[in-house]
Amino acid sequence: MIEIKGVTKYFDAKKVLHEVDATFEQGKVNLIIGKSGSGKTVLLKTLIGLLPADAGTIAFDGREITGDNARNMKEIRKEMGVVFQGGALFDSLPVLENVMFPLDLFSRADEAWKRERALACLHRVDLDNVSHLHPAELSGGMKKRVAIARAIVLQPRYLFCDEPNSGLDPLTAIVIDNLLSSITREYGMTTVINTHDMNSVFETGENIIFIHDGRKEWEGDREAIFHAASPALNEFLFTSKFNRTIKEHLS
Amino acid sequence: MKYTYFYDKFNERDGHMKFLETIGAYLLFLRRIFARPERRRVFLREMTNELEKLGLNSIVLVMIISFFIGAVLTLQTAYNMSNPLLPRYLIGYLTRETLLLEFSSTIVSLILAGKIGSNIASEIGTMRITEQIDALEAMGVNSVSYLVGPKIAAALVINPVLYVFSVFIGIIGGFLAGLGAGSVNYDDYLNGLHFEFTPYYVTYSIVKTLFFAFIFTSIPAFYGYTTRGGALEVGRASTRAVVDSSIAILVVNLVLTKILL
Repeated sequence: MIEIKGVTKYFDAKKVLHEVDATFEQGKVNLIIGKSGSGKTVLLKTLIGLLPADAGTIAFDGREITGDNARNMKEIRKEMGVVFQGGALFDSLPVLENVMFPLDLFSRADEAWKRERALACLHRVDLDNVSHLHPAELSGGMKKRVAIARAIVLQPRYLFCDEPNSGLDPLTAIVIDNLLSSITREYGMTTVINTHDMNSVFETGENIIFIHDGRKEWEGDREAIFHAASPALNEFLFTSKFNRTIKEHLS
Repeated sequence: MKYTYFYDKFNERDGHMKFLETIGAYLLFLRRIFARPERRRVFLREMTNELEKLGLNSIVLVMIISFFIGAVLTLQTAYNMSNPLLPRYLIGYLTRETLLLEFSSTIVSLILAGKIGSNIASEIGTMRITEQIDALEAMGVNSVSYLVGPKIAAALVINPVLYVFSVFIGIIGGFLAGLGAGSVNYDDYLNGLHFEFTPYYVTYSIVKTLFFAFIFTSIPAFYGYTTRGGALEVGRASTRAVVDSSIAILVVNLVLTKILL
């Protein structure tokens, strides 16, 4: 479980996160949703320690990483997998070496075991025959799946994904959503996904946090979201005619 | 991540930043390079790759340039020594001294600053804008040490080797051109090569190549690492890296010459 309290972030004089409180639960897919520029990526990068919080606390299962406790982050990073928006695979390495990369750095196991583990992770994301290819030879969906394989290779306790469905067709996006949900349950991880994909919200949102103008505007699950009173959330979710129709139908 | 402030500041001003602030950001960047590598084996593997990428791939270029410059040096020296009172062995002597003292250390390093410098800045810049550096940091890897350390170490190893290659190939180029054009004969050229040879000049030049190797890897790496934005910014970082590392090489050359000679 990850708990954040009063997390605030400034870029120079501009306040981009306003005292955000939230709890990301273990074994669940926790979604951070919001418009582009609302501060959700800043919140995610603050959670994974790429941006320092200017105020507030962030605790991973009781271990704080903010302020004087920043040294805890070093250990927590080894329990953390991150899937970046574009995959962030290393261009110079073939797929197998990309997946083995965290093992090379943090595992003292022998080469054969590392290779086996990386191949097992690739198998888990349904990519059995691409280990020799380079990232440039993969489709967008395959890159995301390799990135997921790399993120889970160390069996992390926490998984963070920044817009895992961006740029993917709806079918592939659902494959990725389902993969992330099943992996979360399988590994018992605390998964935090940053998205503005409505399908993901309705498919996988077990705990949803809506960020609006750097503030937490709403929190709930995918059932509750249809009845949320927040005007900003309703505008965000139900701008499209399709989503409005679904809401009216469900109402 | 406490250095992010400097990096962000550096990019915000985009060229209008005060000189001292850039130096400060660069020094903070250097401090991260010298952190202990995560795994020595990984460091050595990366360094071997860089030796191939930065060094072996530059050997042919260095050989071609050195050969022709050596040839031109010999012909120009011969052309300017029409006075019969001047001994012909001076042609070999001057070719050797020019290659040994300046060309093979400074000019070759300037050429490498263009070739290797732009390569490093664009490679690391692209890694920055495609979040590959963020991915490294998120894994707990010191991205500066991991990406830049092996490049600097490889350049420190390979640049003195390239220097030695360059001197030899330049001398051979000069010899063949001088002989072919009838400007100098074998004995005069060989006598010139041996005339008043000072071994310390080799030491002096090798010390220079070490400094230059550090400059043409660390400055482009700094510009690449601090890139923000997209492809356009990567291109700008690459250009700025080449220009600034070339200027730095010239300034350091002047300082080292004053100190060492």
